[in-house]
Amino acid sequence: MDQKIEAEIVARVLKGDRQAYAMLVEEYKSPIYNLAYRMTGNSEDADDLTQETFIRAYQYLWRYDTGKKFFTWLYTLALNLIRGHFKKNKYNKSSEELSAHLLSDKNPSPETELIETQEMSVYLLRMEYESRALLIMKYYQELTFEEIAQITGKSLSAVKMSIYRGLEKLKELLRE
Amino acid sequence: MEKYDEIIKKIKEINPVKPGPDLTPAIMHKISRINERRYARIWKRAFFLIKDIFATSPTKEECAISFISMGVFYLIFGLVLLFFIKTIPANSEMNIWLKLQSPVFILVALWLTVLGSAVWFRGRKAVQFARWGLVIYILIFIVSTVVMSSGGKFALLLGTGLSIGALLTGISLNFSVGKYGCASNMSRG
Repeated sequence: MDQKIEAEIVARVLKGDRQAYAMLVEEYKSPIYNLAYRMTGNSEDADDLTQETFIRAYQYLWRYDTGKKFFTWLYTLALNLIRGHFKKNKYNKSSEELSAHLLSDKNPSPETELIETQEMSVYLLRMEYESRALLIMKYYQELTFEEIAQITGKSLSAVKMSIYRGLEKLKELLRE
Repeated sequence: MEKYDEIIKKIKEINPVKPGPDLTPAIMHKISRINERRYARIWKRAFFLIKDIFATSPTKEECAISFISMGVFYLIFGLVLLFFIKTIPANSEMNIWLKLQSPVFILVALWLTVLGSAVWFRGRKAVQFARWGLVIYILIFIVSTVVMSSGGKFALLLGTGLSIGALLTGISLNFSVGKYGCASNMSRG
């Protein structure tokens, strides 16, 4: 969605047109849900976290700087909530736990059967939170380094370095 | 980065998942509930604020000052009408009506000051006097409106407005002096 259109929608929402917010939800629910799903490996948690992200964004919409991209701000909120979710549930789980979580998903999406066969998604779940988030955003969601830097608040070089380390770590995991 | 090409390719090949179709309605429903809660909170705060104001009994001085303040308001209004409004066309209905209103306002101002002073100096003993005095205050405006209604629609409209204003302020002052009277009776008891 064009940044100008986003800014117009945000302005409408701030003026009280609540229904306009549904357009932003429709536009970004899929990437946020995918991020949450790949981070937690659980569709229920992904659903809750996606809802929470959009509700939080609505509540703090007045803080959003319309000069910036809406989705980067939304991703920042989502990542903070996902991090909080891990802390709250004290499950920066071990690889086996998360893999089991993924496989025992009570409400699998139609693609779950396929996901089960994809080892890579399981390996990603075995990684540390930060590296996992960066690799998912960069290669699964195909965000640019600049966008990731904006989302995470890190410098461009720090993002590149972290992603490089993440890839190295993933390679080690695949070798095991 | 070539050595990671295979890994990157595999990550990119992970199938995307679709959120449930109920996600957007669920979010919008929760947002509407947030708004309802927000409005409910505002009303609740307003309610308790008003409740707090009316729950506290005014002191003798507060009660007297509310009368005198209202008196000062009418005095200023009366003096403005008497000395500053001279641009109204002569012999118009409005001119006659407005000129007659200024002494009414000044009379009301003096009357409210008398009532306030009575409460200030005589305290609880002046409560009944002040309450009946407020009835006279409201009657002055009603009589004034009736008399001036012959001055045309404008005079009637404005007179009615002033009477309603007098009625509301009269009820408010009556409530205030009543609360003070009750509180002082209770403290005596």
